[in-house]
Amino acid sequence: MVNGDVGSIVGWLVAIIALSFVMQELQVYRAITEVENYLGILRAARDRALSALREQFRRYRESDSEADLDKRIYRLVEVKLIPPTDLDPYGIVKKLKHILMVGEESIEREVSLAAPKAAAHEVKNLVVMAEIARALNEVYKQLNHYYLIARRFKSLWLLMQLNAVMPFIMEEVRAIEGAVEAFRKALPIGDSAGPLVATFLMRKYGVEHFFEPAKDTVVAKVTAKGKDLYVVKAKGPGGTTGHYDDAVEWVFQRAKPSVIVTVDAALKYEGEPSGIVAHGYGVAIGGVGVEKYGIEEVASRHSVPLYAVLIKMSESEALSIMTEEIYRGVREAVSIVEEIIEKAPEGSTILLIGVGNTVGVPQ
Amino acid sequence: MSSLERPQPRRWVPTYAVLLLSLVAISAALVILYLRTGSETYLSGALLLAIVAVYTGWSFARLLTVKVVPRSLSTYLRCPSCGYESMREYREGDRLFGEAEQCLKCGGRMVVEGIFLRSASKSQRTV
Repeated sequence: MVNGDVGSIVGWLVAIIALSFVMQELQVYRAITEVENYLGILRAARDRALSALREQFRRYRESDSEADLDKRIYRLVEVKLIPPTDLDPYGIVKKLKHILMVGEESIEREVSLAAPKAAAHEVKNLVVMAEIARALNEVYKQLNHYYLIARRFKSLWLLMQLNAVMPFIMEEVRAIEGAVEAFRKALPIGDSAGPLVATFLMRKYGVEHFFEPAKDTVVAKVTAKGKDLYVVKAKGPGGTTGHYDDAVEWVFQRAKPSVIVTVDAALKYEGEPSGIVAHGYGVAIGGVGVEKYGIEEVASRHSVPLYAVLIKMSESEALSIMTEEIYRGVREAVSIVEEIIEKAPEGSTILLIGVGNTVGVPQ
Repeated sequence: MSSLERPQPRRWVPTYAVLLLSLVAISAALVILYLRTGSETYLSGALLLAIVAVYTGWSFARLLTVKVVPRSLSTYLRCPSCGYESMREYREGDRLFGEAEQCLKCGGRMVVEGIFLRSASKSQRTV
């Protein structure tokens, strides 16, 4: 109790100041513990992805040295793609596309050498699995870097910021990790909704001609409801997304489509049901934007309207094995595309692009 | 299912149960001691522990209400000849648009038209 004497007041003041320091230390300790827990989960996710990749590589190799395999996996996981400089943005899309193509081809070659017994589509799945491991490794290393700096300087604010963003990062990690099983078993994922719609249409109306005008991309000429339909999708069943812009350019060199329809997976908001189908205008395609730019360029040059059919899903559903709700969405999207074809003028040509990773979805 | 989605909180059920029972038992013992001795120290201790017990019980109740919806990998089959549809559990080797077992209706080859995750409660429904 404060009795009013100076000694007692000073004693209380000292106690309060000391307590505030202790409280801050406790807060720092609490933030450190929480961030460490999250980092532990991230490290475990990364290690699981790495061991799944190692297991998968072993299936396609002669039983030779483990050290050689580890060295190759390390190289694949630590690879970096350096984007072009944007000091002068003129022609940046072309440069970016060149870098992406070089990276893609080199990684595929590297994977083929590490897994000589793998078929072409299995190589694609291994490439995606390596990308998953690389993404998880990158996230873990970055966060660990910030954590160690925050800890070295005992910065509560840095730790608090790190702690605040962790739930969002964990959501993304959960999404990425969900893809491992799908690519190992070569099963369609949520993002395969677009290619699956394309395949359903190809099979329903029967393919007249098949072309492969661009790397990992197929174009099928189909007659649907009395109209010419060009269906573009990535070449399955390996895990690849293809090069739609080159395929679209190729189609326009041979035909005059009056409408371009893109079917793709779209992110839903929290609370929205999965698998619902939405309509839109424009090019429904994700990624860095190179292909979107290419398709928009062709469409505007020929004044062709762009329609989009979107199948809604969460980020983790997009990367995990396809769910029944999304499959229902795919069937609904097929009907919607058929309606668009029906409404198109007689004698017109329609170009349909099934956008997404085509893992587990053949032609 | 992603391994991060595993129902990890269920691991804590025994710990919570033991903690809650201990807190209730000690609180009850302190109340008995207060009634016998009349010492308020026991009552204060009992009240403090009762607060902790309520918080533990509330956390325990939240833990028990966590619902994990089990999902299984299913294969959806369709006969191209007669249109007969069926659904079964996914088997190793099933691939989209690949041929599967014989059709129960017409004896033709069924085709895999879908492979997807579905919740166990829907197992009797068809697409």
